[in-house]
Amino acid sequence: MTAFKIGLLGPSRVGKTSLVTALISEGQQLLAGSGVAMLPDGRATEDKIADNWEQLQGDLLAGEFTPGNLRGTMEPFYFRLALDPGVPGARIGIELLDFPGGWLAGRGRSAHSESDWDACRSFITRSTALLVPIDAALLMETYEKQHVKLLPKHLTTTQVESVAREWAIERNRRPHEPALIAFAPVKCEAYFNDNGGLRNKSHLLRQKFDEVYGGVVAAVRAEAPHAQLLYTPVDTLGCVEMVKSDWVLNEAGDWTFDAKYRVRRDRKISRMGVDDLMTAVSQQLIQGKRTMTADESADLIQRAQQAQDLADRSEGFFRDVLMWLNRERQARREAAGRQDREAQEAVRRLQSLDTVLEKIATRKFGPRVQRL
Amino acid sequence: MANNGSDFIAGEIRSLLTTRRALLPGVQAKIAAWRDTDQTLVELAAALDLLREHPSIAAETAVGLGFPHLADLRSQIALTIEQLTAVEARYSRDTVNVGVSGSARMGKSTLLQSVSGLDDRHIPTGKDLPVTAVRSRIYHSPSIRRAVLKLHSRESFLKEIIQPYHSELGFAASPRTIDDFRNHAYPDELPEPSTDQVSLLRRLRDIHGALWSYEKDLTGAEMVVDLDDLRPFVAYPTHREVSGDAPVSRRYLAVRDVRIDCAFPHPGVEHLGIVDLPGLGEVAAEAEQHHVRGLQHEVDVILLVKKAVDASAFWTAADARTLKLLDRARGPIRNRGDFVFLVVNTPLGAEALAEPMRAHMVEHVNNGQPGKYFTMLDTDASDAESVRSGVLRPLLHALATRLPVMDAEYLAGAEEAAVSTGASLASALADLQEAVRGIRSTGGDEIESVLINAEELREDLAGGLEALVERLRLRALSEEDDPEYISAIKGVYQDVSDWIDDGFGSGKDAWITKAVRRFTAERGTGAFADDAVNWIRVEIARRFAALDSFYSGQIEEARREVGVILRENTGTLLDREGSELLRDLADLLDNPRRPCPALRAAVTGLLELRMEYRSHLHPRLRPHLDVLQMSQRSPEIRRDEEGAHELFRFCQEMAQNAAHEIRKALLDGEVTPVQVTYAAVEQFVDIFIRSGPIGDSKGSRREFERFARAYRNEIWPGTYQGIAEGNVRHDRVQTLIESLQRKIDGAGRAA
Repeated sequence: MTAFKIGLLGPSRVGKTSLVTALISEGQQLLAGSGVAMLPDGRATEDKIADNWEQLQGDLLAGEFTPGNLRGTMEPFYFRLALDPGVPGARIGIELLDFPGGWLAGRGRSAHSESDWDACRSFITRSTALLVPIDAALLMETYEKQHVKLLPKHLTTTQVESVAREWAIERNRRPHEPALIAFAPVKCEAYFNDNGGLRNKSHLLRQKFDEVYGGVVAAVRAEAPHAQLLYTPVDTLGCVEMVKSDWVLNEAGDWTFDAKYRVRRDRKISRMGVDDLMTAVSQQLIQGKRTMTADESADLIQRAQQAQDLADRSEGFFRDVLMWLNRERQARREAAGRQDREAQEAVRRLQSLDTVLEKIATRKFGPRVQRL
Repeated sequence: MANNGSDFIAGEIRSLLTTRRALLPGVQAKIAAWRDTDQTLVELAAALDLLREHPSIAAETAVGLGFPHLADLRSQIALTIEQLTAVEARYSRDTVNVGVSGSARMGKSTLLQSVSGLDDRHIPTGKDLPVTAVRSRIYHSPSIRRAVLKLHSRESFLKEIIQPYHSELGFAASPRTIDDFRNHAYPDELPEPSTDQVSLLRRLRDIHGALWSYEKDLTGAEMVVDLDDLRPFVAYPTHREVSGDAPVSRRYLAVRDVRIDCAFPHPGVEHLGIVDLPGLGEVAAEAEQHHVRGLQHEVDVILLVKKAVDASAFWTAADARTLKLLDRARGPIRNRGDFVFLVVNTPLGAEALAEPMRAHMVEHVNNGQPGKYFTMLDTDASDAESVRSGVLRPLLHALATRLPVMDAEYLAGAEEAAVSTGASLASALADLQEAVRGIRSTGGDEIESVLINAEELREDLAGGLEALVERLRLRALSEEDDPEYISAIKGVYQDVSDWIDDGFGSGKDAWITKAVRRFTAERGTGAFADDAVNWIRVEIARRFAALDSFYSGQIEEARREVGVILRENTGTLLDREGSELLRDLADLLDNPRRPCPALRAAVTGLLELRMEYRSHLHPRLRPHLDVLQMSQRSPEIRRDEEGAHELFRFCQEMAQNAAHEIRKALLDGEVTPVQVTYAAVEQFVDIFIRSGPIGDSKGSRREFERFARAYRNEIWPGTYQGIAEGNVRHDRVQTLIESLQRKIDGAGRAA
């Protein structure tokens, strides 16, 4: 199965796994009733999500959420998801790479992990979408100048900028392919008042983001002018809020950021902004499909050939789109040949996948989203 | 003497006395002026001494600051005053006084008796021993007949009578009291005494031995006695009294002089006084000096009586000395013959002796030409008629014509002395003025110096304060947080956190127990929950207000730093610290004579600077406490212990969040104490150093000048005290010079 690649770029423990879990969960909600399912594709992804979910539920039940309780990623992990319309061979694969955040910094990689890191970088540069989760609490709750100085290290902004620049350069080499980079501050519950919070500090969050990630944004904009840059703050849980935080000097002489969160009384997960990420990803898929779809017109053959050339040349996104289209066409042809009820249902499901992706892609971004 | 002639002479003398009286105030004014001049000269000399001693006067300059011949100048003034005093005495008299002088036994007393009509009971005469012990002044009075005795005090007796004897006899110490004198043991004789000393010792022993008789009279008062009782007070004891066994009384020793009023039996003597001048030629301590001093101040003319007696019927050397002595009393009277008349006393039967004596006198006194220098009057002193015709008539006639001349000469002499003295003083003053002017030109001008120093003070303060502002600016704009402020905030935050963690001061269990009790009592949770969060909110705010002490400390530190700079540049003017120093300075700048409103406004502005949590920060941070409002979160809480636990946890988390947010807002705050103090001190410096004219203020620069002038002695200790003191001394000298110059001029005009 061909899979669309999405890179995740962020330091350890920023909440990448939680973000992926949230994306799956949000995707399932958006697809509910459409006949199209979003599923973990494979046991590993299924287990990973289940582990994360269990930890999260445990925290919520305890009424006290501590981000450090979630285990950080220790080795590269490929989340494999599938948009399954229930028609054999017509699945759309989505692959997200979650690698140890510590690898971003060279000193965080061991000798034997260098080859893995190369694979990670290869994956990232081939990804048309790059998600950059950002610890909003770290941004907002760091105000002493001695701690502010630690932000680049803790947020690995230098490394993020380096990898993002590399990604942007590669995107610029493929100007026909879509390119999306979404900066997604996570743990934003305390800084918006649209999801149970009392005060709206979103302007401060954006201000802090600009101060710290301005360099990354500038680098991407410079290297890939056609790339879409989005600022998409996310409440990955929605039912927690920070009580207090502190920078603490541990015994090793390193500063660590500790935050204490409380779980709101209803303990119901209420995500915000994840749907916008799904929208942005869907837009990429739909845009690619539109580009590659041959109209039923006089120059069908010529266009099909052009698409083939494009796919062959790109060896990336459009190749995947083309394969997706070919599989879809194959399925349609098979259904048309059978002329039975199941075949009709298959066509309807294929149509439904298109419809739901179109529907998601055309929905407007929420008010939190800002184009950079 | 014909009555008409006597009347004419009397009229002339009366006119003369009237003229004298008219001139008297002028003479007295001149005496006063010269005394004042002398006093001013003394003050000026003292002022010059002070000026010379001032540190600002260089040694070479000091040499010219003085009167090199001050003693001489004062002697000249004294002489001038003495001469004028003699004129004053002369012009003050109501009578024309005729002094009667002569050696003992020449018939002076006899002559006085003949002129006054008194006899031996009043004016003793004797044939052998000197009899007149006291100088008598006898005035014609048609109605009064008495004697007024002026008595010695004990002090004047010891000083004027006894002390000269001791001095002449070479005794070491003179008695200080009468008791000393009484107890003094005088020797019977001196080893190898001179002739005079033998006599003087004998007299002193007589005086000592007779103390019992006159001690009671040493009162210093005047005593009026009947003329018939006068003799014991004016006459030496007789030979018989001295030779007898009874103690000899010497009451005359208590008498300084005696004035006798009686009717003279002669015409034309209404304004005549006769002064007996005893002691001339007698052996007595300082007799001659007393004699001359008395002559100068008491008589207008002198009769020198020379009697033709066997032993001395010729002009002796003693007579010549006597005449010379009398001539010393003449003073500025040019013609010796106007002042001294020689009386040749020729008793009845002594004509044969008189003729050659007269010839001898003409030869030796008048260089052989009768009347060339001195007029010689012939009389028999015991014959009143002879005295009238031979002495009084020609004498009064001469006085009527010559006394106005003598008066004019007397006055002219004194004036000449005054002019000479004035010239000497003026010359000395001119030299002094030049020397003083030299000091003036090198001493500098105090005000100018103060103004220069005021500008330097402003510049020095500007330098120090700008350095402070720069230090504060660097701190305020530092990339680093203010560690003290961070520490203070964290300290307070920790206190609040501990309090929250400790169950809001009472412990979690107690809190929950109380909550359950209230839930039960009030059948609901709302009231307790509202009370709890409200109280927590207030308490958090109150505990964060503990930062006020830090804020005030920071501001006080800024004031202290400003104060140090002010104190270091203002001498001894300011001696405290921080706010106290600034308050002192504000008071000083409120000087009613030299107000400095702009400088004071700068100081009071810094004093009024406040940074307080409640008034300045809490209003801005207050929204962070909104989480502690039940109405904002409204958790539905059960009325049991589990609900209380839930409420406690809610309150604790909300309180922690509120405290966290407040701490964050404080640490992330745009306004920090360093920035506040930086802005305040910069504002202070701007106004204090650079403000221009506005409103009541003439601007910083002018106010610094006022400030410097008002407190120059404190800001620059010693500098202006010295200059001021030096200037005071200088000005005092200058004032006295000018005053003395005016007085010299005035004394000249008075003449």
